[in-house]
Amino acid sequence: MASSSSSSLSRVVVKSSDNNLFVVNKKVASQSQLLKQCIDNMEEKGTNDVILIPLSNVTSNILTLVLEYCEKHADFADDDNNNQELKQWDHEFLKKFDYATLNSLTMAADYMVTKSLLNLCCQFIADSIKDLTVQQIRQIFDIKNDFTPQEEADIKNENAWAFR
Amino acid sequence: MGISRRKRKTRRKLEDSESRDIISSLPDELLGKILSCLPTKYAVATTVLSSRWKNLYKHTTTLDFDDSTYLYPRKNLGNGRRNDNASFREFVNKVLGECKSKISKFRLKCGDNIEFYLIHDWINAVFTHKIAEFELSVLDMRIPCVLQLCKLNCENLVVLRLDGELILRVPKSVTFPRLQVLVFKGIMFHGSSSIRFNAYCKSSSDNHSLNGILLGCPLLKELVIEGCDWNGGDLYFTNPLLRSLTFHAGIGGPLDQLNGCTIYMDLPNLVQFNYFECLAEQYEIRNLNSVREAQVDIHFNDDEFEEQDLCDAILDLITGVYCCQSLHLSSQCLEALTSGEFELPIFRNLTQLTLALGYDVSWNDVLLDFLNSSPSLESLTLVQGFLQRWQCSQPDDDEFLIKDEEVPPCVKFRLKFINIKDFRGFKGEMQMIIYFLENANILEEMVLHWDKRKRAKKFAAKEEEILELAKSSESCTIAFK
Repeated sequence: MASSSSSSLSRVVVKSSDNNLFVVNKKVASQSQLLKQCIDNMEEKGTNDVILIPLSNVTSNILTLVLEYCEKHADFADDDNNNQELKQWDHEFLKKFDYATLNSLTMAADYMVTKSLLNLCCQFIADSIKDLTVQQIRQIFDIKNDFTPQEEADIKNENAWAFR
Repeated sequence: MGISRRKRKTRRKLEDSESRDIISSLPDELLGKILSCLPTKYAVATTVLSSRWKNLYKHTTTLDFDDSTYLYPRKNLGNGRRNDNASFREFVNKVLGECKSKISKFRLKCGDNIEFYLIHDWINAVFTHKIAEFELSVLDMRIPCVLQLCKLNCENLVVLRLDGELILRVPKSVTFPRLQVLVFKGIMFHGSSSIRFNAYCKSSSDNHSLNGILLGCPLLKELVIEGCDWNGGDLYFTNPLLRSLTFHAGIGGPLDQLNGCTIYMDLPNLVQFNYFECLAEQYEIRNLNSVREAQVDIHFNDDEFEEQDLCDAILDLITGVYCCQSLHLSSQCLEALTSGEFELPIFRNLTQLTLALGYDVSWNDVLLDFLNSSPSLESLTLVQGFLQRWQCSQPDDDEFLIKDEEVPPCVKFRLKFINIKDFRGFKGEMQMIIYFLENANILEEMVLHWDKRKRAKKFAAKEEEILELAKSSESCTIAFK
């Protein structure tokens, strides 16, 4: 955590919603367009102070994960985005989480404008619900069915091809 | 059921600080994004989850309709094909009409049981959006139909995939300024207008040829041309950023359209080169110096070529990729090559080489040349291939003569892996194995794949014999498959 003012150009400090501080390498932070924008703005002003970026919407648990992702992807930043090793890593990375964590991660990626992580999360959630029945999806996500049986039948009828 | 129950339990523990309705805590926009990752059929099926979900699918930015699984409904199922068509038509019409968001990706895969004028209407409807990815495949078309693209369609495209016997009409004024991925399968660039659909068709001289289309794609990175009919003539591949090129005759393409033609290639960024086409008369290759992996398989008609011309044509092509690290040449390539006098270039970067034996070609004709031209070679795969009748009756004839020549440096100092496919244990093959085991000083592994068409009875005795052979690289393992 020892960040001095002289290192402000290579590192930034990010604050989570529960007030934990994270020192982040600039190359890693640049994976998030939100952080990159903040850094660029500060640099334009020519400041030498430590840049502190508060993220009021992201808890430290989730921020740790986003930064883990950014760190990995920063390593491959100059590479092809088709790198197989990275794809494998992405998949293993998301596989570990339950849906609640995935959701928070999706929202954090959206908020921090980390586009590749956002796409990854959305595709992962989509893939995992694709083969589930309506009952299973409702159960896993605790979605309350507020349709009457008649309404439900009408909806199925309206989009018959989707329910084959 | 068991799985979902377990998930429920683990989730309960974490739930305290999270909202109960997990996924619905996401804003509409993000749920729309998730639904955009699903085929539209599945996205629309979520309408039944709850009233909040009823309209969420209208936020998707992707439309992906795939009717191909219903093309061949099982018999005795009661509901006939006609019904399926009707409900698919209805579905696409409804979803297209209801979409509120900006569509950026559109994919339609269907059979020729959907009227083409309808498909054309759908296409026109989605192209009122700024479409970045467009994919159309119409399976089993009985009559070629005309697909007309215009400026509005093309200017935002990043990915374009067309599959089906479509006559593509792109006016000469149109370019593809953003296109990165282009896949044409079964596409024709000429031909009379379709019987079933002939609106918008102008005379073909106002439209781009295949060359014209390629010329209008300055950012193209990936190109697949498979089974296409460009009405013959020379081809020009000059896209400066192209990284992957697959040029494939496919099943439907005419076989003679490269007769007497030249293929020009100036692709300084090409990494992956797959050529599975007819042999052109000549290749003018200015720059393929970034190619890492080249796979070449050709077809040719002996009658069209003088023997030396055949050899020169394939040699032009092989010489063009002399910088590659991995090279795969089919049996037809070696057949063409050995029909005349040839001198190979030095493949200075080549570490992996696969050669398949051609008809009337023996390893004595080619192998030494390739080994001497590949100073960095580490991995060699030899496919024995097609068993000729004379080889069956007199296998002993085919002696491995290279053993009497000076051993190429790559065999002595570089070669680590040898794969021999369709191995039969003939005298010549045994001599070849002895040669490599004796001379490849740092060989790590030799894998022999038995020719499964031969009777396995003799395999065991041969395997024992091979394992007894002297090896200059003691750590080398020999495996049989």
